Amino acid sequence: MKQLKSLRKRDSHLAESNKQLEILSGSIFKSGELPTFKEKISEIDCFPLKPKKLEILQINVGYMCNQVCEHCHVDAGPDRKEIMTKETMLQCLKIVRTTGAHTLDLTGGAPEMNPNFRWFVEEAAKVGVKDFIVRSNLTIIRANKKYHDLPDFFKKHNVHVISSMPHWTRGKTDKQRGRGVFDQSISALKSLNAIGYGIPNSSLKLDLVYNPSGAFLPTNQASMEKDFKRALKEDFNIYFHNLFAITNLPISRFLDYLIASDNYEDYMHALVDAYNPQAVSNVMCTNTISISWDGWLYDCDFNQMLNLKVASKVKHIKDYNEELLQNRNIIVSQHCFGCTAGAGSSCQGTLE
Amino acid sequence: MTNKIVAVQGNHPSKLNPITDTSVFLANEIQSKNYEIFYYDPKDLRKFGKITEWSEELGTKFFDYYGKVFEEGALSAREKSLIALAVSHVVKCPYCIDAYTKDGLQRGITKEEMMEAVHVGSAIKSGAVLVHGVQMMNKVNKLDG
Repeated sequence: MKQLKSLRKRDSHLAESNKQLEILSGSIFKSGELPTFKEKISEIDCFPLKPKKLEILQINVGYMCNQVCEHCHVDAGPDRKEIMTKETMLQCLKIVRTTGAHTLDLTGGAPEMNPNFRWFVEEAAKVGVKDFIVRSNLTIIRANKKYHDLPDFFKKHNVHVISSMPHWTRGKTDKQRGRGVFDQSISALKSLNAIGYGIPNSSLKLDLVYNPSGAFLPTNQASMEKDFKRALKEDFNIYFHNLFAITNLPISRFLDYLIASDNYEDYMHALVDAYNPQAVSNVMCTNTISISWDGWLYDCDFNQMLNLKVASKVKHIKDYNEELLQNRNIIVSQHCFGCTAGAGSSCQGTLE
Repeated sequence: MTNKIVAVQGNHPSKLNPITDTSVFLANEIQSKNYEIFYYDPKDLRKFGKITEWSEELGTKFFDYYGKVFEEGALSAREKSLIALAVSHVVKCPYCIDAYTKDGLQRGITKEEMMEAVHVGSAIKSGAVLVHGVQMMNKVNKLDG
């Protein structure tokens, strides 16, 4: 099994967000073979796309990760040095204390690799947000002795753990996320289960994220959850609460994969064919603000990776003003078809 | 495309030299120019829905029926997908094979499960040939028994 490197490490031209945006606006969209996202949402009078009530603050505390997954939209990896400083975290905490959002969502990279991660979680937990999510890749818990107590740490601060798991079989999981990831993930899930995470009726929430291992869209979230639950219970006696089925958006390493495997056009056709106008009003950028490791503000984590900063006077947390941000127009491009395909897709799963 | 030309020549693809063998060169040339010279074009599957445009009533009835067949019922949608994959092979429909391979992947069906389903179709198909051997035996017994 090949071991991947980040696009940046490979000096790939796709490491540059403007190159990705060029591709997403070119060829099939330029020729008119497929409609643009703007054209599609204009048909239902949703352009410009406007925010609704802010519910989720998603903070990306750094792009460093112990894994190099095939489809990572962050292009994360051990070589990425972009890490949120304590100073920026202090600015984030100021916002967490005043925001109207009920959910705080920490992501990365592997957020646990930020040297100030635990301090930040302790401080943020004191604020008492309703739902405090940490997106843990699971393997980090087993990667090094210093991380082995993370399940207890999460429990202490009532953190809601959301973890990626592309499949219930070793082969498919390791293909997407790297050799050995499946076994380490199973081990980490067992340690989370052992202290109550994911157990039916437990208040310690453990959810899994499924995203397809190749150039195809996810199917019905509920039926996938049923299959995941049955297989993980039968094979490993593992429990979890919800499965979120997320569509791979055609950016970063997944875009690179689509192009290299000659699947790009077919995939974009599949996304556009699966466009669901009813999903538009609930896409996650309408209730989320995404904050990058260096404090810039974005409509979502995907726009962050494409370096599409919010279209507002307020672009950085140092100037944060929720009221002004609520008046912005959300920036869209063709990658947004990933969030409106089928039942819709968000970091919290389908939009139904 | 290469296989078609090679089959005429009677050589296994692995035995050909891609530089000196004219047929392989031509095949690559055709591929690079993206000539569309075959009846089956994978992109045509995307146009399947247009069938309705030339006969709205029948097309609509067909797609309604088709959609209903694949809904969860006494059989799960997953089981139906595997049956469809096996049948796709038996009826040798390239569009259906593409569609139900993709559908299987979307449902988390593993490649091992898919291959077993294909073997089920293959076994029935070959069994259907072989069972006619009884007819041959009957005829032999009648004529020369």
